Amino acid sequence: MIENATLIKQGAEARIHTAPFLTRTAIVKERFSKAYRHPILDKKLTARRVNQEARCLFKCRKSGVDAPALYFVDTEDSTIYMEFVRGTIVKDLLVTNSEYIQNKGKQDELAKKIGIALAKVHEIDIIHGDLTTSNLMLRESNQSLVVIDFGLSYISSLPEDKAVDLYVLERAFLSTHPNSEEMFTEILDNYQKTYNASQWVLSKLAEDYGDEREVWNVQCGTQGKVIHRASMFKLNEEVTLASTIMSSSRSYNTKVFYGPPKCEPERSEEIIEKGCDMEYWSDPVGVKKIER
Amino acid sequence: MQTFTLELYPTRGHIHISFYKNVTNAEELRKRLLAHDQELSYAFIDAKVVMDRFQLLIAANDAVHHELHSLLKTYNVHSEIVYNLSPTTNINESLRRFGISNSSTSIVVVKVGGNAEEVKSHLSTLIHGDEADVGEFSNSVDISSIKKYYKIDNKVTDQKEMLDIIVGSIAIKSVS
Amino acid sequence: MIAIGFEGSANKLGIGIIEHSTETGVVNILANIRHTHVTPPGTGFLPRDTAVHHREHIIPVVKEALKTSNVQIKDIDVICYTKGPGMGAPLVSVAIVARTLALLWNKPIVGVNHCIGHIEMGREITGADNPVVLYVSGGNTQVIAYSEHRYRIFGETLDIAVGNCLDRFARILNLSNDPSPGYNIEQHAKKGKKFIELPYTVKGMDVSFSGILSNIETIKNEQSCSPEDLCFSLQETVFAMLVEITERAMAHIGSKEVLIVGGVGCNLRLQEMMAQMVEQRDGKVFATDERFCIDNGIMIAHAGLLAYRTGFITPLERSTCTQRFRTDEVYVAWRDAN
Repeated sequence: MIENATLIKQGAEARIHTAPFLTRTAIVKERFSKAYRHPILDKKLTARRVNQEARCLFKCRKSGVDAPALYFVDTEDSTIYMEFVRGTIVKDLLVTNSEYIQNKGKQDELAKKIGIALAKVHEIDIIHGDLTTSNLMLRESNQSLVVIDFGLSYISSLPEDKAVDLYVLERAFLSTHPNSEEMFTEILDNYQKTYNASQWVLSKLAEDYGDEREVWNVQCGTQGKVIHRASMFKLNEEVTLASTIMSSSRSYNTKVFYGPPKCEPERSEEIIEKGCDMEYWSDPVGVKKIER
Repeated sequence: MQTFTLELYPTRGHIHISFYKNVTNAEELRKRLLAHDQELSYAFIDAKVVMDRFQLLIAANDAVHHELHSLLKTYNVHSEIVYNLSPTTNINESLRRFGISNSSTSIVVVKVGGNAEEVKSHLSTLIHGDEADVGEFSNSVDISSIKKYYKIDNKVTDQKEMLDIIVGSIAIKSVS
Repeated sequence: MIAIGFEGSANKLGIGIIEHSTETGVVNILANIRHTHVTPPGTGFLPRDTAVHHREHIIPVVKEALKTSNVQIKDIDVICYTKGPGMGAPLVSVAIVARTLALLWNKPIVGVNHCIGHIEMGREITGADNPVVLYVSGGNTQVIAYSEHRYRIFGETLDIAVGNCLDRFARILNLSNDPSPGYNIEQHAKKGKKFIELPYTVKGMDVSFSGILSNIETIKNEQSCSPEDLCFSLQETVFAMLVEITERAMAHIGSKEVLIVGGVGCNLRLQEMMAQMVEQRDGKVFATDERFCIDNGIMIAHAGLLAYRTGFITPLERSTCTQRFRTDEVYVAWRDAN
């Protein structure tokens, strides 16, 4: 280990230190091996994760997301050296800072920063993988929102993977913070404004996790019989648009477009039937109830 | 000249950084480098592409790390420093862009190991020019070359952000 | 109070009879009878054939359970059966018998979530108080923790269950299904030496196994490796994934206990790896043996009786089966909020 290092956190997979490094202070994140894993697997996995974390971290920093600057990757010792960011963890801010607990303006301002940062992260197809309020900071010098800990990050363009990021963040907000619902709505609002392809992510969020938030049920059918039913996250007019098309439709094969209104409807989708688990039901035929 | 210690490799010796302006014998130095003259056991870097000493220290740290693990891509730890400064893996291009050219007049020198006094006096006999304060080399930086070589978006104007991207590019090079 | 439990969500038909002392809370297992539908090597069990198997054997198994337990029909308080999740046809074949007996014997009936059965039985047998639960079987792979009257799912498989992965792997290698493919993989793995890299997919607290199966055919043909080596590498890979997500859940909620349930939970290598992980965290692993790990009727009786004691009864007209039935849908009335 580097000279004069101070352990600040012992996690399940890594130890985090601070240490003086080439005239600055660095965060030193050292992944350790796991006794339960086969040595070959352990070595490959650790190396792969160190590389993946370093890549995701740097890709974010380079694309204008405020994240710790990458200093040095020691593949041989499974250690990443990065910038030590001076600032406050968002979780602490929302729990202990009275200004953030009481002032809606402050909350909205923070939510806006979070929404924009997330949009930028997803725009370059990075999935953070552990998006809690403990992994977001406000930089002391310029109050910029810093995304930290890319230990579980990976690259993917799938809307469902991005939706999981949002879902994890939502859970983190709902479980720990005051006015979390308003704040999370504000986050999504800014996320949507900043990220062009946010629609697919948000509809995935509604589809997969819709039961936990305000949802519009959109139904489609003929002669009073529901053929298609979909749950959507209530966000904007798109839902209304979709439901209008659906309710005026007469045919089973109605395709409903629910993308952004401005662009060409290149992607149309059959609304997926939701919530109909197969029910098996059969009567015990031929058995009479016998009085005893 | 400034002298530093690598926290990770304190026994490898100090890192010395000097800066020379108004250099007149760059062509001669370059010839001797190409001939692998053992007397020139230094990294000679074109000051145009150096923004901060931190950038040099990161490249030097990487070079010493490579040397220690027998991972050097170039001849020695000094050429490795020049190579490391570049974000690409093309050795010729890296040395051409970040090393000195015949017309260089501002030169940054990095030396791994050795006694500070000896390094200083040896350099003054090698280089025909004026030694200047290390803090001054940011005056001779050519931002457009930096942006081009490190592929930095034109929207980025903040020097600190630029430096973050530069050191990140150097660090990520050994990962891919 | 005495309950009889009917389980048949997959290829095991199990009937169990359990007694809870209403004063002391002591649990007494009176009978735990099982009959397994075993198919030839290289084949899996099909829903239809499995249902036929269950129908053929259920009456003798019920009779045997009653005989073993020495319980009179009049002493039974409640009939419990597996409502889901599982394969449709086998579930229905067993549920019909449970309902028929409820009508014949004039007893209340309780539909039980199969996963809750595993969890409650595991807690009862091992004495684990509030563990992170790793539920691993042919149909399920979940990391679960309790909070506020629900067993909440922290991580799960994104595609197939780990047991399903092992079964299909065994089929590709043409291993015997007797007593179970997983058991034979475990025995083969003990003789394996060489580690062959297989796809390792963990996303946060979720895992994915399908990549392994699509890879195995090519690996089998390309590399010179024995079935033993393949079994060994398979176990090392998939179990490492499971231990990793369990550790994440433990770190996340700050728990020091792990309970492994479900058919794959009898695997000693998995238990050993889990123990190594937990040791680093200063915690404790709880696991059960094959009597309770593998699907059985007693766990259904136990979980059903816990619910029944809080006043829960499934109305006869709603005593249906469902193939999908998530663990967190069940309101756990019998435990404290935390």
